[in-house]
Amino acid sequence: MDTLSVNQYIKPMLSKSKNSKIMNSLLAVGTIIWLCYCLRVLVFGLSTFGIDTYGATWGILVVNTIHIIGISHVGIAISAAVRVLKLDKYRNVARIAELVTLIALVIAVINLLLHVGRPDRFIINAFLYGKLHSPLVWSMTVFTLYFLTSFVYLYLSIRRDIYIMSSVAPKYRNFYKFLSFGYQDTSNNIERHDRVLFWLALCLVPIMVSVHSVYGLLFGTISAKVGWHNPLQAPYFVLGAIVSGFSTIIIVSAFLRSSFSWKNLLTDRIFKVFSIILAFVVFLYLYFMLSEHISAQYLPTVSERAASDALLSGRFSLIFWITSIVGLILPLGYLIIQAVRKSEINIGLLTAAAVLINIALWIKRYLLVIPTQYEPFLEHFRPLPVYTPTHTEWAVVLGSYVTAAFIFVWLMKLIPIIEFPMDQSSEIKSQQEIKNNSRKIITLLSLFLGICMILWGILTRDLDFAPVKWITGIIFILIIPMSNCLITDRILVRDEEETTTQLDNHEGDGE
Amino acid sequence: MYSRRKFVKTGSATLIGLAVTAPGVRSLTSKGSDSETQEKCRLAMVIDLDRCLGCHTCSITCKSENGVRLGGFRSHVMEKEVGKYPKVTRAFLPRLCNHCEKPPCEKVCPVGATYIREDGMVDIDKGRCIGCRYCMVACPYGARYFNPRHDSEEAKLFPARIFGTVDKCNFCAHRIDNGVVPACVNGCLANARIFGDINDPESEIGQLKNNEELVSLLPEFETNPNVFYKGGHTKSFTLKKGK
Repeated sequence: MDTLSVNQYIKPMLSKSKNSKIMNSLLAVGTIIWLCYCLRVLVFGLSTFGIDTYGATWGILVVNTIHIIGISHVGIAISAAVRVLKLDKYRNVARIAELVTLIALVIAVINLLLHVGRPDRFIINAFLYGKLHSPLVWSMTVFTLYFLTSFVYLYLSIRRDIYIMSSVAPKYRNFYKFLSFGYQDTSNNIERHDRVLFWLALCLVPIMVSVHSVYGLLFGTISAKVGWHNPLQAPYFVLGAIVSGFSTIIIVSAFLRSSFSWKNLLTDRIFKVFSIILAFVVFLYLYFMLSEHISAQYLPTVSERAASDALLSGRFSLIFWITSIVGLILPLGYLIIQAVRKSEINIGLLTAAAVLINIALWIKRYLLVIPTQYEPFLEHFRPLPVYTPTHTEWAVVLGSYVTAAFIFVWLMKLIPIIEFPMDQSSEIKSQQEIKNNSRKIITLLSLFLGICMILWGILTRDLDFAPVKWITGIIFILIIPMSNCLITDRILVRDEEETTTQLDNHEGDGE
Repeated sequence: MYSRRKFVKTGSATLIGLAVTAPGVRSLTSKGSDSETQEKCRLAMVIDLDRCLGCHTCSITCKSENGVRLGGFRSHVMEKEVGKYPKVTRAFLPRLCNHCEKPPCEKVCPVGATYIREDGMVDIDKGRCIGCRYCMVACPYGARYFNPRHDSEEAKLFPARIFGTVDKCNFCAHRIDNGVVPACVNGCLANARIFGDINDPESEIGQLKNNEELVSLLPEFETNPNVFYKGGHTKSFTLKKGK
């Protein structure tokens, strides 16, 4: 393997510049502050929040959770599209996107955990006593499915690179060997991984759509809040997720490109295509928004119309119009101009547009969750208190992004952030292998047990422990891709000489 | 290793199997027919608005009986001026949980902490509640409140006030289980609250149901509340405009 070209792919691991050290330290400090605030919420409860029984009962942590889950959307979508449609030109951005997804999901769970009054009971009770009729249990189920499948997908897609790393960085050889879990860089194995990943990618697309649809239904099924009960809520959420996800991927990719001079890896073409997609989805989002407000204005029941009025001309009108114009319409204009021009793409301006769009989407989610809580169907016994988020809430919200960035930077140091191309490895062997039959048995057994457990859970959905059953079923089914890739074939002819030469050649490459 | 065709075949068969079995299962596990539940005891309350003085005794007795936190209410009285000068009057609307037959709060509760008792009363299992407040946003009546504060001293004084959980009126379950009427009914100066089994034609509330015109709040939500109002100006309390 060519050392120079490998070094280019693992630049973040090798980087020891002063700037990166300062940035890492700042992110670490930010993460520690965030953890302190999280601890404060856990110790003192939700009295540290600005939420009130009468007025806003859901605050900005819900807004943030939806936004972060939205960000997680596109990661796997891009990766799945690259794999299923064989878009090899965009392969370099797939790993970045997958990592963004997984980190976003972890941070979203923590946000959700801090939002509930009893984080100590939250996950345990949801799994033990979850009721299928509650949209929150749907979201818990699809979220778990999404997280586990994404994790398996990321691991299987990264396995080969980790294996290559074990020879590139001899200092950490054992660590990477352990992580790669007996990977063999044979053509059969690569082909098998590709096949399994193709199917996983295909399964991930509907799962991903279901996650965001369910989050839309979380609001769409509530008729007690004006403006929430909207049949378009599920596709609206999916669309919002695509917008925020794509803008985040553009921001992260642009940052990595400028930090590590990856102009040849994260090419202008990638940004150009992403900007066109972003322009298209922002346009669709604006179209949905327009359609929502026009239909709301013609509603016969005045109270249902109240939420739309509050945004267009009421208490939230200023924030609504500024967000729509500065955060969506102006960036869309720029993206359209950028798309039709044949000149080189301006990454700086594109990133600025993506940042504006991302912030606008956060505010749009705020405008979905908060204003309606001031419009009760029954008059209240006192004027509803105005919801003002406390510094703890803001710290938890902002800290979530700092922590996500910190985890991302940390993972960048650990695993190759850009997939090694196939020609990067000269170790690919094409030896004769003895097929391992246990793979077939495990696949059939896992599928059978998985389906049985899921069915058992659904059939006994009114009883306790039902979610544990269907989640176990999901885990059983996820054993199929793992076992297919982890169980290795026995190689008949082993080329010892080739392997040892490779290791010797790259002794010290990672230094 | 599965071929793609085999995978698609197995997947389709499983999906079809699920689709066929799921609707049948619902009828197997459903809890009795409508006619069965109608005959059961159904605890309800009628509030005579023509008798209500707006003295808030119900709110105070409720708070002291159930250790309700400051800023939270299981039961309270809304007030409003109705009409225009010179024909103006002050209307009162005592409010509490409606103990709906089809409670939206119970439907959305992810852990089954909100449940319907045999006697029709909607209660919360506070040992199970996770404090997600989904029930609070789902309740069109705003009948629920939240205990956000984590204070060990407070917990000693008011053991019923469990931090991080949602609370609401439960018709003073601890009293009615011992054959005593709820505290607000007991404390009402004007005897404006009538409580009992509405399905019992011999009871006072049963006779009121059969002989008087009773209304419930926000009937358009089809939650079938078990708290009814008699007389007064209930309609003037529904929201007309957000502004």
